Amino acid sequence: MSFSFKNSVRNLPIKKKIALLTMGISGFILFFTSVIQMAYGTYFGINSVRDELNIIAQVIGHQSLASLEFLDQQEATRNLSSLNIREEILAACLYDENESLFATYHNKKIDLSALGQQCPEKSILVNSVNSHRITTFYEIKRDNQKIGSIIIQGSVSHILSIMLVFGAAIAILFVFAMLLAYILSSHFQAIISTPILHLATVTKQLTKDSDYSIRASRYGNDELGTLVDAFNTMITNIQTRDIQLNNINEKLEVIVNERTKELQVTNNNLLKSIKKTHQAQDQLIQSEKMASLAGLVAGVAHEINTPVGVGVTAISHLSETVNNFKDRYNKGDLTKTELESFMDTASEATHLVLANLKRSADLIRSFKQIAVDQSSEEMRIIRLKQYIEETLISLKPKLNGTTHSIVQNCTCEQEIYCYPGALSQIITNLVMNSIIHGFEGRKNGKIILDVTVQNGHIFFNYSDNGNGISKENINKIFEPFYTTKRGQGGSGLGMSIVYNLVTQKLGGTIECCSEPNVSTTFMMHIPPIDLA
Amino acid sequence: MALFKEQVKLICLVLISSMAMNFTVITMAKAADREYAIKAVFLYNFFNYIQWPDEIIIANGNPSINLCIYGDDPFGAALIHIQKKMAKKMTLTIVHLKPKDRIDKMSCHMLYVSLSEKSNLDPLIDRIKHHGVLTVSDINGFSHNGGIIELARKGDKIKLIINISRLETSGFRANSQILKIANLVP
Repeated sequence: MSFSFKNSVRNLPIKKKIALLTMGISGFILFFTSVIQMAYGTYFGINSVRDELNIIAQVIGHQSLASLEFLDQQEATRNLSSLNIREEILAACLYDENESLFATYHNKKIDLSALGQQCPEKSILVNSVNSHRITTFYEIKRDNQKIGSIIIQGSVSHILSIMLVFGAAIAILFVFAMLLAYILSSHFQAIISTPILHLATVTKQLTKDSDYSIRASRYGNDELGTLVDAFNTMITNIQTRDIQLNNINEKLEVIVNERTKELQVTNNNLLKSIKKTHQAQDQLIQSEKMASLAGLVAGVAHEINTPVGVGVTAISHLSETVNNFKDRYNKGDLTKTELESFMDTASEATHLVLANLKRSADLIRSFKQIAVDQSSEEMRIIRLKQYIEETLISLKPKLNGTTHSIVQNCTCEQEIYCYPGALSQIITNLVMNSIIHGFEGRKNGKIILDVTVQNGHIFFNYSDNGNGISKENINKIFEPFYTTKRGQGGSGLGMSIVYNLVTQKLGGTIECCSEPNVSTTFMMHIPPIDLA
Repeated sequence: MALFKEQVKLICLVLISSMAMNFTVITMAKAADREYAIKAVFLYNFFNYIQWPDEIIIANGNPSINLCIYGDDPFGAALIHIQKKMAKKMTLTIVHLKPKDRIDKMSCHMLYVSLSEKSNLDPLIDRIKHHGVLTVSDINGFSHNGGIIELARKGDKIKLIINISRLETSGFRANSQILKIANLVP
């Protein structure tokens, strides 16, 4: 309750706070003094009534001396009845020396039945005050000898009613005082509140517009004046700081712009060099492809050389034999034996030539296809097993003169739609790698090629029993330009091309594991290519 | 048993009735005593309400007052009680006068005339009326016949009747309170 009252006062405008303060203080003081005054008035009133009653008791007591001493109750009663001029006296009781009731008086204007027994039979020797009446007691004496006693009871109600009137007057006064306090405070609060309100307005405007050129004006030399001065100083400081900050910001912006430009230039240069690098890389890859193609061509040439050579020898032998036969025929020296020998030779030679030409034609046809595939990137349907065999034949010249062998376990009679060029390049690169790196300084190297097809997925396992790849190198073999034969003809692109073909062109995966001096295995998985 | 009870009742009744008779006699005697006890107190009170001429107090030196009783003394022990009561303030001497005794304001400050002297009242009054003695009596018509204070009976109460002119001519001054409660004879 008090918390919320405090809070609500806290949120009042200063004008109202001052009015409330003034009214509160004046009201409190008025209330306090009134309470004291009323308490004092009541106390004083009751005291004075008691004193008065005491005096009356003494006077009446003395006047009743003779009636007591001469046992004249009539006179005593008459004497007491003189009290009726005092309305506040409720009752009087006169007792004789034996404390038995001698004479009484009751105020006839007041119904005393409600107040109970007025005169006790035996006088009680006390003065008392309660909410109904004040009782005074007086002992009547002559020469220190008790003659009798008197009790006078007075009403306090008239004091209370006076206090009630007094209270009402105070209440009215209170209202007037509050009004006066309110009017005065609302007149004079401006002295205090105007500078504060002005300051508040200035602060609000300052916050709203962020215009630090505004200054608060001063109304006097009091604390508020000091506050305004301090406020103005603070604003000036902020303004100065703002300007400085702005300057620094501008400078910074310029610097940042410069830096950005420089960075952009550097970035552009970098991009250019990256582009160049990419171009160089592409060229390299292209030339590597061409190199492998050239190797292929060389192989093919070598392979064709033999049958063509045989053909040439056979045909030249046949030609010589034909010339000889023609001369003998013209001279007429031709014998039957010679004719038969010539026919045998001709038949043998044509047979040999035919066979070798046929073989050459076969070789050329298959090599032509592989060469076309390697240089083109078209898809077509191939017989996987046949294609692999053809590729291996094209590689045969590389194995000529070595003790190495290739074993091919292919359970793949199906026709498959794929990039055959990629496939043959992969095989070529792997075989070349095995020959150059794997079987370096070895004899009787063996390459095993396992290919299986399941639901269109090609599982391609290639392994050799060569030198293997060391642990520190196995993570780098797919990196472009990584080679252990730099300067000896290795470009470092072979495995990188294999990796790119498997993962990107064919959308498959490739893994390599190797045990140095035991084996190296590449496991590839090529998913089916979606015809759509 | 029942018979015994009846007998006890009878004895009790006899005892109670005899005691009651005794009580009546005693009360009657006591009523008279009480009246004179009150009158004795009244006599005492007069000393408080009536002022004697100054020369009497001066002449006496230390306050000593003579209360003279003319005729039979009806007070008995009551006066002794009064004497004791006054002892603190002054000495009260009770003088029982004989018919021929001299009466003046020095020997008798207050003179009580007993009822027994009712027939001899007039000569007595004549004899003392110029002696400045405060005369008090319960004889009917006393204050009308030259006495100063009469203790008249009015019902069961005692009423004062004061002959104010005799009081004043005898040199006494009365307190206003006593004049208020007393019937005055001019």
